[in-house]
Amino acid sequence: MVYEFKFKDFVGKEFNKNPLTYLKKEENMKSKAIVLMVAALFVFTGCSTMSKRAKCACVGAAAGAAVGGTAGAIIGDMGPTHDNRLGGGIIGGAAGALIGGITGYLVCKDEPKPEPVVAAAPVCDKIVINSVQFDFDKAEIKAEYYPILDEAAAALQKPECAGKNVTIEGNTCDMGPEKYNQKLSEKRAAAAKDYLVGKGLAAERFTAVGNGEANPIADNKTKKGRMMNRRVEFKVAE
Amino acid sequence: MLAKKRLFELCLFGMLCLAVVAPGAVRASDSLTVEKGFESFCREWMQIVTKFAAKKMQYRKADQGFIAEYDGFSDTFSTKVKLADAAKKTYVGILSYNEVRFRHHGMTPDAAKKGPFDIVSQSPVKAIFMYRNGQWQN
Repeated sequence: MVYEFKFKDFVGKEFNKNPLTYLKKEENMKSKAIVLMVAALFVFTGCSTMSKRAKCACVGAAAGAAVGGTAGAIIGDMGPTHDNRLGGGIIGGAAGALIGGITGYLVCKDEPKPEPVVAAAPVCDKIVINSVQFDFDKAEIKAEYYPILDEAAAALQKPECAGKNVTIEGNTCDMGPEKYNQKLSEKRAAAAKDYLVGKGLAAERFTAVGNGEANPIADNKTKKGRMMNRRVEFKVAE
Repeated sequence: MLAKKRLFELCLFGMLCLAVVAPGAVRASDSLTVEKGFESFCREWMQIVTKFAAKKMQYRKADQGFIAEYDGFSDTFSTKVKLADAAKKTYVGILSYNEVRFRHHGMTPDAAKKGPFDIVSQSPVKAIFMYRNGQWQN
């Protein structure tokens, strides 16, 4: 008894051959695809731990392989027998990976490692907050500025700062009467303290004080300087 | 006909890949622009405070001559940017530097002022800034 097998390939074209040959071919293609996928996985996993330049080469190679592989498969498929897709894809992929990798390597440059600024041993840093802007004659912290204070709260909760006392200093620019600025700076420091206490930090750690306009960090003659001077500082006791 | 169908399938696959990769690439590009912007913002900020700090130099009479002293800043700094709210494109930037106390001894106030200054002490500082409405805010 003779069995005649009729198979359809992935686009529906009828395939009429010895089933064993077809299965072998299909198996072979599957194994190659798996090898390619595993290789890609290795490449991407490896890329994540590389330097910037190596990463660029890696990404370039991957992108080149994808583009080259697709182009190679299309070209391979153009022949009368439509059976060179895999071969074309592999050749195109390899060429694309090589070109992409070299291009990526040449385009990117490794950034020089910045010199360490802070001492190696963890120290509780002083924190300066500038971007919190208050409305005129107001000391309430607006919700849009909460992310900054959340960052400060997170820093003050780090192990190196835990339990240490903190002085919260409010500062103003020199616009307006000095006495008024003094009161305003005290209110703003108190508002910052209230926010941190609301976040669960112990109230007894904090002392809110106002410096008024007495401690500028920039020139009050310019608008930018005045904005820089309106700030809150968190000074941690040694 | 079949070739056209294959080509269509490949194009569809390509577009699908682009749709997956493109938003991430745009976000990464946005973050990179914000980070670069923060570096220049911090460089300018450090220049302003450093220049102003030197103006607040103080003199005092010592046993022999004069001592000039001021609180300045380190030459180097580092920056870090975090995404605070993706929808509002709000970022928080952290500028790390050292506050440095400089001191110099001279026989006259002018000689003390000229330097070169010695570093007496250093303490780390973190300045926290916010990126809103497309710019870093003082």
